[in-house]
Amino acid sequence: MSSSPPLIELRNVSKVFVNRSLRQRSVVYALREVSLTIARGEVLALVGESGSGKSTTAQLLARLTHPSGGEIWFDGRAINRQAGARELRQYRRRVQMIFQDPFSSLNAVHTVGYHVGRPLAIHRLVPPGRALAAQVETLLETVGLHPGREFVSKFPHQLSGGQRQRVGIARALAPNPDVLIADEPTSMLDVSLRLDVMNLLLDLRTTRKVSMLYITHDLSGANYMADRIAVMYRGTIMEEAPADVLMKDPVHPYTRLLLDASTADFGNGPSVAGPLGALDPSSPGCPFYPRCPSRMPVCSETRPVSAWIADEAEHRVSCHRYHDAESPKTGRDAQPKV
Amino acid sequence: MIDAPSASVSSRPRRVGQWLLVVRPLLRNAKARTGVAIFLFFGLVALLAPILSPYNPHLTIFAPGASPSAAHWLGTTQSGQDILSQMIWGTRQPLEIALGAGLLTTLIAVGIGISAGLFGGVYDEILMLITNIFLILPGLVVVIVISSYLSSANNLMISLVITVTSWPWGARVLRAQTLNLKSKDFVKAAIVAGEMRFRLAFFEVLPNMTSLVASNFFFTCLYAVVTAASLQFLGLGNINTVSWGSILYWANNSQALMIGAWWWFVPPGLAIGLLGAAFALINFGIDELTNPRLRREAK
Ligand SMILES: Nc1ncnc2c1ncn2[C@@H]1O[C@H](COP(=O)(O)OP(=O)(O)O)[C@@H](O)[C@H]1O
Ligand SMILES: [Mg+2]
Repeated sequence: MSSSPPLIELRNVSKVFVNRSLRQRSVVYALREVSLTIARGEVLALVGESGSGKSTTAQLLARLTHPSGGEIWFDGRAINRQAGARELRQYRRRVQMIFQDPFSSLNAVHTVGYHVGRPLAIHRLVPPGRALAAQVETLLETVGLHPGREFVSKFPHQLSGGQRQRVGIARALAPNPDVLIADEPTSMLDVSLRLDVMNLLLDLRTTRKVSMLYITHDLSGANYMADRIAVMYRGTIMEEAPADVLMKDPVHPYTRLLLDASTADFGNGPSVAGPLGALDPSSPGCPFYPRCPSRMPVCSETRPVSAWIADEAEHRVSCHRYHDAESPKTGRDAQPKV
Repeated sequence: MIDAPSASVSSRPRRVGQWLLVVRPLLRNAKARTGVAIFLFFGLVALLAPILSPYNPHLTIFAPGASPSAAHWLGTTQSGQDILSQMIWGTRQPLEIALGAGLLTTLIAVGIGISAGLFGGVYDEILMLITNIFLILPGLVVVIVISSYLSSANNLMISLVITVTSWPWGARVLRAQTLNLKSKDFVKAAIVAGEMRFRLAFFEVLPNMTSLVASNFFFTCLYAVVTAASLQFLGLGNINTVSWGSILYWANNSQALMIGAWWWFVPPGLAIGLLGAAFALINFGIDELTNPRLRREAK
């Protein structure tokens, strides 16, 4: 995978939310120097518990918000915040997103046909009129809504959660994108429907050769979907490896905890400990230090840097235990060398 | 339109669906139904004034100061005009001013509220500064001052004057609701789909606040009916037009109250109150529909 340049690359991307109210100023460090790559046709899973910064990553890639630091590269070019409307429209044609909540991601006043037809009209992909209507029906059938004709004039409130999520997927597919960002697309669905939606996404991946950022809080789901898995905790990538490697040989204590939690209880998300509080940005140590079962004194003093594990081509970890004297390549210039 | 394709896919069923969605439950609500009925009654009277009115309201040929009789159901004025004819023709002005002010105010409030909420930043800050300045102006005083310069004001000008003081309320409410909707995923999804600002404002956000917009409209109508009548009662604006407010002005001027000519001042007062109540009732109905807590109590 390292042979061709990645389609998408996050280089030390940080995101800080500053909330100003009359009384106080609160600062949330949602992402800290996150580096990730997605190759053409590859599925990368981003795993982490609630509040770890997964949706923030998705929204940065969807250009719904801008990074506070670092760069996002797409198809060999850095994304420019001051991009013109044309460039942005081109990006929107190529990078699409599936939202977590099928109930709030469709507009109650618009029909299914409107939702799926708009991207086609906006990007002028299909001539208006009958051809567009036919394309909308084809898309609906692609995502398993048969017969498409019957869904076109339905409103979201007439659909089940699973059907709505399929409409969301059809909308994302409409412009025939190169990248799909799927932000926990199954977490709000009935357990019985989750596998269907996951299989649908896998089908699309093979038939359309689309790259995917698959976001989930469930490691086994990530393993089912992805080529590679990145584990995120409080805005930091803790470990990243090919899916089978990560599932078999997790090295980060946090990944291990996640793995134990996910094998014990499929689908309900990790319950490693209590909810994530706001991280004190001034604390110098590892973000996982307070909950780490194998912490060392050094862990509270310096932040571990992301380092490639020797002998393993694509296995990266951010932990002092695996960060020893043999001068690991760190964050910025680290590229997997095969 | 440029976007004919999507329209052909979906807009017809959508429009019908939306209308049913808004109108049918509204008419099922007793308060709203009463309000709509009163409003339609006055609307019909205004439209059919040439047919319904027994005399020309300006004619001064009748016995002055007469009490109600078969020839003059509501008697005559001190200068010999038929009061019933004046009441019937006088329906037009309050309705026109109310609807005019309601429409203008709602247009401005929608334009400013939605764009400020949606686009944010400096644009939002400037618009909200202007809005707040207009908000703290004492409404009735401003209206009185402006209209004292407009001795021959037509209905549109009076609507405009009322609009000057009434738009900021709606703008603030609609901006707040826009901010709320903006954080919803369906707006983000529309942005990701490539929608531009205009479509976001008018096709994604606006259709989700129809009840707020409608209640802003009807509240302004109520405010306009009362304000326009007050102005005319005070002798501002053009008192030589026939309207409920000017009937009250001349009644007061001729000391109808002192001489006990109730048929002169009670009907216009009642009519103003009824039309105002109609707008208020429609508004209550909308409130009950959108506020689930009220809806449960209503059942
Ligand atoms: N718009 C925002 N303003 C302030 N804080 C935010 C905003 N969006 C997200 N956050 C914060 O950033 C952190 C990461 O959130 P998020 O990316 O939604 O996590 P996840 O999707 O993994 O649950 C959380 O602490 C959250 O409260
Ligand atoms: Mg999330």
